[in-house]
Amino acid sequence: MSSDPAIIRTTSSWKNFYKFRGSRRPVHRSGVRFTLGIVATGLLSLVTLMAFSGEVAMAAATPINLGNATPFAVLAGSTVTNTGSSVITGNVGLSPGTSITGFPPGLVHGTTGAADASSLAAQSSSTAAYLIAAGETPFSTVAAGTLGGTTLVPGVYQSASGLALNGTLTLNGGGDANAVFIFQAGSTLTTASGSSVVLIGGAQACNVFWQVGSSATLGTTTSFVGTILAQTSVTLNNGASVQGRLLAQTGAVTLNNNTVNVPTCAAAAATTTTTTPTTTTTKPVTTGTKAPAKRRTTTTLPASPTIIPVGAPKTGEGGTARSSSTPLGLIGLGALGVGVAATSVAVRSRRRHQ
Amino acid sequence: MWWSIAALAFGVGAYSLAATLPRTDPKAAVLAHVTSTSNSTTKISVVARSRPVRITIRSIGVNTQVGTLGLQPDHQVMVPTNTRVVGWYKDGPPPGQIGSAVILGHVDSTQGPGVFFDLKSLKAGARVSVVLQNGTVTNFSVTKVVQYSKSSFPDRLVYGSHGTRSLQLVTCGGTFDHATGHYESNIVVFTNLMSVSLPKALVRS
Repeated sequence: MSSDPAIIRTTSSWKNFYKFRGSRRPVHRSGVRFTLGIVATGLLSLVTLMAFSGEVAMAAATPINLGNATPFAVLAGSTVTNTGSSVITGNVGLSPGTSITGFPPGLVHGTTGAADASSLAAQSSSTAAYLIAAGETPFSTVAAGTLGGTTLVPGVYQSASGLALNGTLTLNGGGDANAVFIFQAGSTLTTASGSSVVLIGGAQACNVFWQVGSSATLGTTTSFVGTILAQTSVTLNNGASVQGRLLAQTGAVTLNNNTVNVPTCAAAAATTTTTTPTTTTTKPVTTGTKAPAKRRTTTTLPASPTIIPVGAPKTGEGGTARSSSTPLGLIGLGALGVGVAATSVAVRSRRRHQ
Repeated sequence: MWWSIAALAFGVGAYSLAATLPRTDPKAAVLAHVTSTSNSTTKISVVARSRPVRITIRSIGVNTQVGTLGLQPDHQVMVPTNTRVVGWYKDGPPPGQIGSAVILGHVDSTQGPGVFFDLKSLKAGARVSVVLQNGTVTNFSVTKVVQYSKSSFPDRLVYGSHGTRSLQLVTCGGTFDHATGHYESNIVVFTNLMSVSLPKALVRS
């Protein structure tokens, strides 16, 4: 029968089945327990298959609850060290270590705290999340631990040794905004320079997790996606960017001209343009009661952005920009004179345009 | 003496060479930042929802109309077609509501300075006033001015809600790349709502 592979998968993940039964399907609990009492084990497998086969596969990759670590972009055990103008959107925390250096010139849009209660609680959650991620089954084994140039569907992927990304890894959500991807690396996670993780088919950065048995190192200008749960350290080389989190339990997080953004999950159906009703339910909170006569114009305004635009707006054409091809021969007073003349022209033309 | 003149010439030459070498903008540079947040406790409970029609920033001489901007098919925000007016991202909240209202304007055109030419020189604490269509005047105070490299433009930070009544002003800045015809960075001015003047018709006695 075509269902044979599913039976194998089901029986190999009893732990998940019980967890599932207890926490997610209370309605079925008494019925299943009754079945347990009267039916032989072989038949039980069949019953389980019929009732849960679809969900058991889903249960293999449930999003990992990061608890108190959720708002953290960077969390380390020993030190946080930054070089250059990194931009961190999310909290930066350290526990039990006390040394966070390199901010500024690094910039944190969030809180920064060392050896404080918040970082301690986050570390506790991070460890719990690491253990949950490491225990997720069933998994597919990643051949030779290399991920470049492949496209993966939602699920759990494991390499008993390390995981290496060389090139582009595409994660395809298959149209499901709740699609979860979990990677389990027995030892290290490394990426080659210029590697990237690309999300398609509605996959979201908030649902991508990397459990790393030792340390993670992202190569220069790597464009990475997902929450890294590393037992030891996380190192980002020059120019790497992460849509996710860097959660190192015992070691350091080392940054160098990086961008790290804590991802937020859009609603399940947010990939379509028909989600306006779900977001406008918050409207009464901010809708004023003062101007009923103006309601005609006010009701069309959303309470919060339904779609966050992407990319940097192009709001200049360089008419006032300094030329980058100044002849080298213009030195000394000549250059000074040209500079003064250029400035006065600029000022004059600015006045004209105001 | 000849050697001092030579040294001077060399020095100036080296300076002029350095000035013409290609530069890359840092990922982010804070140009202004408010250190005291005592004003953030201002309690403003309700501002009637209405679209913005005019913006005034007295300290840099801005007083112009506000149009509306939507999204392009690739989810990039539109930019104003005229460099002397600015535009409000209409799929976000209007100024005065909880969340991030965003107003975009040009730093320049090929012809000369645009309406937001001096945005980068705004100081923390400067006032930005936006008049809404219903006559309400919303007054914002600058908390931070940051230059972001376009490659690391923080979409969610600029457009997402942070639970406060914020207004972000966006324009271009940094180094102009003559090869691409675009600036390498964006200037983002972060502001928070400080006060509201209700139009007389809405004030109840």
